[in-house]
Amino acid sequence: MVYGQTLGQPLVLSAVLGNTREPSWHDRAHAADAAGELEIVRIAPADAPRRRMRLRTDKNRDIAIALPREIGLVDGAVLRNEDGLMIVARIDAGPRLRLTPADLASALRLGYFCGNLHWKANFVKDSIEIQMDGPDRPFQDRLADARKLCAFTVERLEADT
Amino acid sequence: MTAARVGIGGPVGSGKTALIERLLEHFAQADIEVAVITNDLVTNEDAERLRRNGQLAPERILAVQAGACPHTVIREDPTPNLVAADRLDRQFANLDIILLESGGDNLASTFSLDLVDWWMFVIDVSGGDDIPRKRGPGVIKSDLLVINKTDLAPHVGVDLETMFGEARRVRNNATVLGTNCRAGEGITAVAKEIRDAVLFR
Repeated sequence: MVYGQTLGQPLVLSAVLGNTREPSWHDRAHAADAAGELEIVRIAPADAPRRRMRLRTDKNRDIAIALPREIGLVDGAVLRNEDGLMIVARIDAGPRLRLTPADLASALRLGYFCGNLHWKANFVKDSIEIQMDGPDRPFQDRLADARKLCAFTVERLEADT
Repeated sequence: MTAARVGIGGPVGSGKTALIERLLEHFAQADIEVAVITNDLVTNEDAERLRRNGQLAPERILAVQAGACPHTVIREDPTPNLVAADRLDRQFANLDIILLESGGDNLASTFSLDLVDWWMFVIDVSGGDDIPRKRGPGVIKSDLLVINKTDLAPHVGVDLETMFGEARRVRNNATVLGTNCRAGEGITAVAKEIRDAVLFR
């Protein structure tokens, strides 16, 4: 328990104070870790856009994130740093499928196909990276359909790559 | 803190508006300040229904017309709903929660998490007990699945135990709740899910 948390109630975190990718926060997180005062909250990439979440830290602390609408959560976000407790969000990239079309016609058809399936996609150089927000099988089944329409290669990217 | 935003999706006639009417009763008793945004195709039908009921001041109920498939304004481009929610936030500083009701859609309907913090999907027993088995994204990905009109099960040949069991199985045991909105049954449990997830009280 820390100041501001009532028994049975979550610790509410309503701001992003900084990011551990910044040198000063990196050093403070390192010091907090050494002192046993660092807690990590892991957030699935699909959940990162939420502004409100009820979660537990790696030390099983009940927390409630409630951020202003204009603030987004990114990996390394520092959500608390007071009273001997630092809480940092960890959001890995999650598994993705990198689809690389063989030619322009295939690129057009593949992009249209992915859009029709409402897949969350990022364009990286000449490829489309599909965020996998569930099991592999449905993605592979749909890609088997796409192969009848266009030529492309598939590479599975694991979390944190 | 700005108000929490909760999405309510599901097929036409499943009971989304009826569930909101019951939730408004619960929230009023708990002193939780609410506003509602309804989505319809080309009318303001659901907003007008809620205004007629008088549970909320009319200015706390906004209507968005999708003009096309309802999912387009809760997922692909939720701008009209974001604008409406921001307007309610500015207009009512003490709001705790904004309920966003999608227009009735199919089982593939899902909410963008850029629009809502948490969302539920409402189906009903009269649609058939095979609905969960069809693994629609709305059924699988929602934070809460509500199966409404449980009282109709014996009249439409639905085995509730099987339907709930299959729903939990396709959702990897994520929460499934039953309601009979007309009689007010199961509403407290739905409200508790919302309060725990985004109101934290």
